[in-house]
Amino acid sequence: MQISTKTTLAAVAAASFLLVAPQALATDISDVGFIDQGAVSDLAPFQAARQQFTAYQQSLSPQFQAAIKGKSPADQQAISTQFNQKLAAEQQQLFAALFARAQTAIAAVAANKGLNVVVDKSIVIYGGMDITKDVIDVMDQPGPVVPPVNSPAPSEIGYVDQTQLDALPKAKSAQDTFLQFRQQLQTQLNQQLAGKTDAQKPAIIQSFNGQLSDEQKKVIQPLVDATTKAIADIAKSKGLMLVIDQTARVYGGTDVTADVVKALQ
Amino acid sequence: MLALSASACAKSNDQRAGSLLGLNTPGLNGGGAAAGYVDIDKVVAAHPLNSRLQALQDQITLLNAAAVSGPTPVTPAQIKAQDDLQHDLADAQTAFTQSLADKQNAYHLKEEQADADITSKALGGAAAGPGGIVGGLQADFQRQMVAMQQSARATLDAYRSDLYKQDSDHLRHVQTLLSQDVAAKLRAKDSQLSALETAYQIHLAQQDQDQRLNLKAKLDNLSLSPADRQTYANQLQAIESREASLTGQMKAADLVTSQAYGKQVQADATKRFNAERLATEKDTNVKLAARQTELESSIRTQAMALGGQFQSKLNSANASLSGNQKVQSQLADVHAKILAQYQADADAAMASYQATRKQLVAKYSAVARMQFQDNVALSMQAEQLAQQRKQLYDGIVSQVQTLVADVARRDGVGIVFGAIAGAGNATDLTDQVIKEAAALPSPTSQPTAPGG
Repeated sequence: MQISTKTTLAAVAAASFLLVAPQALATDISDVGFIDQGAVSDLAPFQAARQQFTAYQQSLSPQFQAAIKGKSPADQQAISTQFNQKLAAEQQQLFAALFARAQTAIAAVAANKGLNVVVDKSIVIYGGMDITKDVIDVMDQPGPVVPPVNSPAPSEIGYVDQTQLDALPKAKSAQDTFLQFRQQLQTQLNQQLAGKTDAQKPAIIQSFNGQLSDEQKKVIQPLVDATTKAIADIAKSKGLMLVIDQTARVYGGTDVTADVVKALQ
Repeated sequence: MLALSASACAKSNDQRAGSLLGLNTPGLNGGGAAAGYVDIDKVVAAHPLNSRLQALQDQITLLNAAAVSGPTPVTPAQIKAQDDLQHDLADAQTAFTQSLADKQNAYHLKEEQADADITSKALGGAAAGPGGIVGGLQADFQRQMVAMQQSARATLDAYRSDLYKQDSDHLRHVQTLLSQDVAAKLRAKDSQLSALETAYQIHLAQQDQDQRLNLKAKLDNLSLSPADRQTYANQLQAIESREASLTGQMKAADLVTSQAYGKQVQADATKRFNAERLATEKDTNVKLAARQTELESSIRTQAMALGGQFQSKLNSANASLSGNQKVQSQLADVHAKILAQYQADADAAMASYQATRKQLVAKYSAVARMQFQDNVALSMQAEQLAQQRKQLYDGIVSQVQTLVADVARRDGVGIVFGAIAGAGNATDLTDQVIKEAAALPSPTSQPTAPGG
């Protein structure tokens, strides 16, 4: 391989610069892959499991209707919980092995391609390595999928469990306040629109949207900003490129949830 | 980490440096090693079509609000009118749904028949039946399969009848032999017992012979007194009676023995017959199963041959049809034509259905002297608008993705995320993409008003 002096020097200069450069420049994406989870869940075994689950749901429905008939709301709630547990157990039985196989296939492909993190396709707008086909090929093979020997190395992609952040008292209170406001506003809107002409309605809608937006800015936005800042600070302190929501993470990545929760408390 | 960081930095200074240092992983789509992110919501908000998106959202909000803020009937007449209205609207909906399903079915059959005619003609066949050329081939295949199965079934039935007849004859013969054997054994036993009885009688007679002769000699004496004569006669009679009694006892015992033996012989014969019957049945079932397997195997082989012929004909027909541009064009024309006919028909039916709903609302509004509202119609309008909004939004996002790719390539960013919880060291491309999006040409047309 021929390496021009100019290029080598540029690279060496760049590498030397890094020794004193802020960590903000330390970004690399060579270990990030993505997968279309929808395509995987369209595979025949998943479809068959879904059909079985739907059939089971349908078979339970008449039993449920018969069971709650004439019962008090409390009893109905208890029966509903009981049936939901049955459904969850069936779901677990039908899908657990499939999900485990998919997860092992993703890990195997990621390890094979030197990827330390795999995310859902929906959050990648450009670039990255699409491993969907590779994973489907592995899953389609007969016999068990061989898991990789090593677990993924620490990645510069972090992830956070948003549900834990939403459950924090401050966030929960803000969400409740906003939802209550929205319901009241919606009721007002319905009353205001009654009997109005089509010409009068757009102004009312505009006012509704404006009030909703103002309330959101007042109640929700400060929390969103604080959360975003906390995540960004932690990401920078840990040398991460960015942090995604846990629901979009498929494999690998660095969990920063505990740090963010601590920072927000 | 240092090596990776060196790669990233080298990338931003010189696009070739990273790969020349051998630090990049091949196969990545991106043009650089840096990671970036874009706030899609902000970009969409800056897009020239966002006002149209918002307008559609406002219309949807309006329709949804109108659906829940409709007038409420108060008087009994108004309540009854509303009930009647709902009833008639539900009938109209059922009729419309059924009519649409009938139309779909009719057009589907029409297209199938038209396709069948085209393909049949192209393959030099007569007018195609239902299912077209494939249907014809399939029907032939089915007919041959059915004939083959019927023939096999008849063969098996005949074989079964033959076996059953053989079994029946054989068992009857066995029964006869066993009966003869039983009779012979009984006869032999009777003869044996009878001989023993005779021997016993002789033995008794010899045993009493001296005494009997002595008594007879005494009785022959004419000078015997009547009293003595009577005594001797009684003694002789006692000897005769004892012998007769002993012989009678033996015969009675032999009769019991003979009867028990008869029963045992009969039971043995029955047992042997049943064993023979079971063995025969088992043998017959084995033979039948073997024959059935043989026939099934033969049918399978023949079916495979038939299936192969069918598939071969089908492949040949398909190859001939798929390579025939004229046929393909005709099929596409037929599809387009019939789809257009169906669409027009369905649109007309939908228009008629909507008009019917309007008429019903107007009619019952007049009856109730209040303006009723058709929430289903409002919901349908809202759904149409939501679909329009989704199409517009998807179009905007697709356009934004192209802009993001352009910006990423230009800035040497290898991967761009569209939804993040927080940024670290990745590059925020949002402002650049917003600038590009805002520079897109503005729309000229306005969104369609609901129901318009």
